[in-house]
Amino acid sequence: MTTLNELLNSKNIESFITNLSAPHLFLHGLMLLFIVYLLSKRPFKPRQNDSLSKSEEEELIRDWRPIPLAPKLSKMQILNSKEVVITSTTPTHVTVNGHSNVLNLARTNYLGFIGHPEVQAKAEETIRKYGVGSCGPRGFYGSIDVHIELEKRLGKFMSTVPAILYSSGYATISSTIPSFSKIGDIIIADRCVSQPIQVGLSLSRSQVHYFKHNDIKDLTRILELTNKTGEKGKISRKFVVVEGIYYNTGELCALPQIMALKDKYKFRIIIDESHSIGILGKTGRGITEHYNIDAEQVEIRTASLANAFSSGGGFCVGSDTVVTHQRLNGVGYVFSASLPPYLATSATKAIDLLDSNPDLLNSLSHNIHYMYKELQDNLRGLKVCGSPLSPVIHLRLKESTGNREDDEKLLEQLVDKSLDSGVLITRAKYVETEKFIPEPSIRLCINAVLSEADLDFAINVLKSVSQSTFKN
Amino acid sequence: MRDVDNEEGDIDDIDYWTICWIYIAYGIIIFVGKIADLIDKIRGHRYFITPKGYAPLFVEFEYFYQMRLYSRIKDCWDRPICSLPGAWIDVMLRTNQHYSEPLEYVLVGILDGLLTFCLFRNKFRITGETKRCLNLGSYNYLGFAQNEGPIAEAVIESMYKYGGFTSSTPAEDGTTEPFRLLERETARFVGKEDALVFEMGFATNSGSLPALVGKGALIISDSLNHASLATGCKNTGTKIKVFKHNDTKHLEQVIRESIIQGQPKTHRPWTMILIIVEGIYSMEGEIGNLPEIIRIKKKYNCYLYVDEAHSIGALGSHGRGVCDHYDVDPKDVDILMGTFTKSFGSIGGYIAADKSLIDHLRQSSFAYLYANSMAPPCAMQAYQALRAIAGDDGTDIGARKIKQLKENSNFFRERLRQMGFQILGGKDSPVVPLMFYNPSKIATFSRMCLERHIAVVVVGYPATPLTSPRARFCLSASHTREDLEWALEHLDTIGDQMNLKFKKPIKV
Repeated sequence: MTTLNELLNSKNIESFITNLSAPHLFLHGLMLLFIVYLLSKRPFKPRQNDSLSKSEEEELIRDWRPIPLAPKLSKMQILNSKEVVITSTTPTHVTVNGHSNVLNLARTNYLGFIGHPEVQAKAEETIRKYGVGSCGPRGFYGSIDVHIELEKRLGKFMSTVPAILYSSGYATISSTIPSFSKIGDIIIADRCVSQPIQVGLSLSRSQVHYFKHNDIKDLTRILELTNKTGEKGKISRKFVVVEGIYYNTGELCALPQIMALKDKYKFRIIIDESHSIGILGKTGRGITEHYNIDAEQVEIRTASLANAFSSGGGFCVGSDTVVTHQRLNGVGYVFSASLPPYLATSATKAIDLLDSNPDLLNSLSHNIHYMYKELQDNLRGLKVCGSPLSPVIHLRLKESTGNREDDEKLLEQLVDKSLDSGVLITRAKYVETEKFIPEPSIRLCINAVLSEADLDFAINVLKSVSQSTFKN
Repeated sequence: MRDVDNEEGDIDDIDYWTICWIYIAYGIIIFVGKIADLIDKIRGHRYFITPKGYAPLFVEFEYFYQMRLYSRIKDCWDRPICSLPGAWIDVMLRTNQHYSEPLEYVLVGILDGLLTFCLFRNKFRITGETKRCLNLGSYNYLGFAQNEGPIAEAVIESMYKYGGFTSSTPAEDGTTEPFRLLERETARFVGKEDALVFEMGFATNSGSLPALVGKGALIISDSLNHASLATGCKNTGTKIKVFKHNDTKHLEQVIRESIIQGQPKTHRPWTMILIIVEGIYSMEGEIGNLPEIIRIKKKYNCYLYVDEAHSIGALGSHGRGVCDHYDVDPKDVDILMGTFTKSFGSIGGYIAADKSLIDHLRQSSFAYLYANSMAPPCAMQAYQALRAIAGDDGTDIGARKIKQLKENSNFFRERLRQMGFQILGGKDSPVVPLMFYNPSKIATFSRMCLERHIAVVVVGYPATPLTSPRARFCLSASHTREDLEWALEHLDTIGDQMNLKFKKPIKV
């Protein structure tokens, strides 16, 4: 149609028409009418039948073949599938795959409460009273007095109102985030946050931005960016999600710098302290105590009880509103059976033990520093990553082979050799589909109850193992 | 489904008068709530303070629901107990004076609403008194919640040997001996090649589903599937279609359409179709129509995922779940999932399937790689209970418990039905829901039962649709016939007083 208009409007045509004789004009007029007639007709459409016939449907259904449910394992997955089976344990040592009394640096038992006699006695007492499972979610008679006690104890420990207790550390943060952040909200998260947090981010269906690991400049850039977007007049909820100590890197979160941005950009902070509660700070209150920040400034703090307190479950603290809201909206809380009572009392006992013996924290930090210092320059082919305050130490290759699989294989050799020499360590294993997979590493977890001899033994084993693996 | 189990009550089978009352009741509740909101606004009272420049922490409706609806009757939930969750429990009493008025009287309701904000109290105080109640709420189906006997001793022994917890993931260094034993025994028990075990039932579903389906796959889910399944589906990021609850005709129709139409926009064929159903639906008490679903699944080459959280141990003549109940081959179900929370008196969940699939899940399930492994005592409890149910412990304890549970469930359900209550759920199911329809009856029923020493679970929105609040009884093998008869007598009286008998009583 537009082309026709152009033709009619152009001056050439005008002069052409005025110069024409009557029969010509008539003929052209007829042609024009014919064109109009053609254009007014419905465009040509091949005859088609939208609905398939019954037999065609049957054919489609018969021909459809699904892919197999179980894909073939990749080489990486086959490498990962080697497992160890623990057949007995003490706070520091385990018997595993027939190797008896192996020093365990693979589990996050930071304060050594696994196998602690007082914790065990408490656990036995609880099992003899309440049995093992609670047989129901918190709402439906699964709230046992020991849960309430632990929630109060956690609240006291964190100087807040009673906490909300989840029955698994994994489900805690992945339920907390989506219970507050919904579609249309903005989340800005560190790129190295651990996987349960990432699950929470994806479940929230919010608009998620990632900033470079611990990079405040990048965070500011994204905050600027998100400040501009969004409808006028309507403020969207904005959260910054970080970890106290990053499990994937062993770095501390740069909380003071983030807090400094808070007033300007008006965001709330969700901080996962799974690996910093009971570890950082003079009395183990976590990252806020370490940096001397008023804990009330951080809106939502969650942590797993599995690490420092060596028990099951996780919790979230914050204001009364934050906690109460989750009791109806935290899916992992509402729809899951509650924590086995004996794990609740174990955790309570562990917190009591930490509070009555803050020396544990000194020996933990001593052990970490010692290990960190000794390993730093003495390992061939490996570099020590992470902060010297973090009980998680990542050993990464100094020089990558250029291929993740080969890197992991090298590290696996190291793991095997060190198990043969009496130290149980592990590679950090990840799901292949994860968004930002950290570089391959061996993850060491240091605990407070390791003796000087244990530490020296572990250091010597790691040294000799790295020397035999990286010959050049 | 109806023709398989024609005894089932129909949720919609009520008169219009009752339906009218549902809406009138909601009208009153919301009206009173709005007045309370208004007066709060005038008084300048605020439940939470949003700092300047920030958006409120959550949306208005959530606040309204929590404060004006849930808060008024929240004494019916989270009732703490201080005993083993066995047949009888010690419920700890709480006070909260301004939420204890019955709601069904309009005037009292409005007065209550006015009092609610004038004397704003949202906190409970535990009085220290306890009340011994018959436990009709816990999922202790087979009565393995025990604090003495050989199982408890084995559990304590394992706690000393393997530690109370592992603090590591199963994929790294958290695998212990009881954990391995449990995996192997579970696979054998449900009739699959291999199984893997998780710390938490919820995480079993929410963490494993994303590993099962990838891009281009389709999930077809029952409309009343549990929240953990819904969370897992959401987390997969693939297309999800829902079929009407337990309606196999609709399921077939959805599958046909999906295969014919292919993926939206591109019309490429789906890479796979996964049907997700439950063995026993926890809020309906209904048993999924497995034989028909298997027929459909085979016909259309779909995969089938059955969540047996409530049915494993509780259904079937050998306690092997819904496959055992219908006598179908477990091999026809691709993935069998279940929990150890219920019949086994422990915590955690499992997934059982072919070896190749389990090997794949061991490397790709979030819950296996990132969640802690199951604590050794919990694994031991589940393992010992499993052996007892399977009869491997050399006793007939398990067999007796299974028989007892079945008798209890059927006796209790039939008696309630005879009394004229509107009861849902199929034969043999240990979950017995009793319909209220009217939301204002939720609290009254629960409180009246508690007065008479019966601990019951009541549920309303959001666990059920707005128009079908209910009470849910969970039977247990540890209930004796006397316990149940005693409870039924009380329920009969309560039913008369509260006008809960929507059907004509049947004289026996």
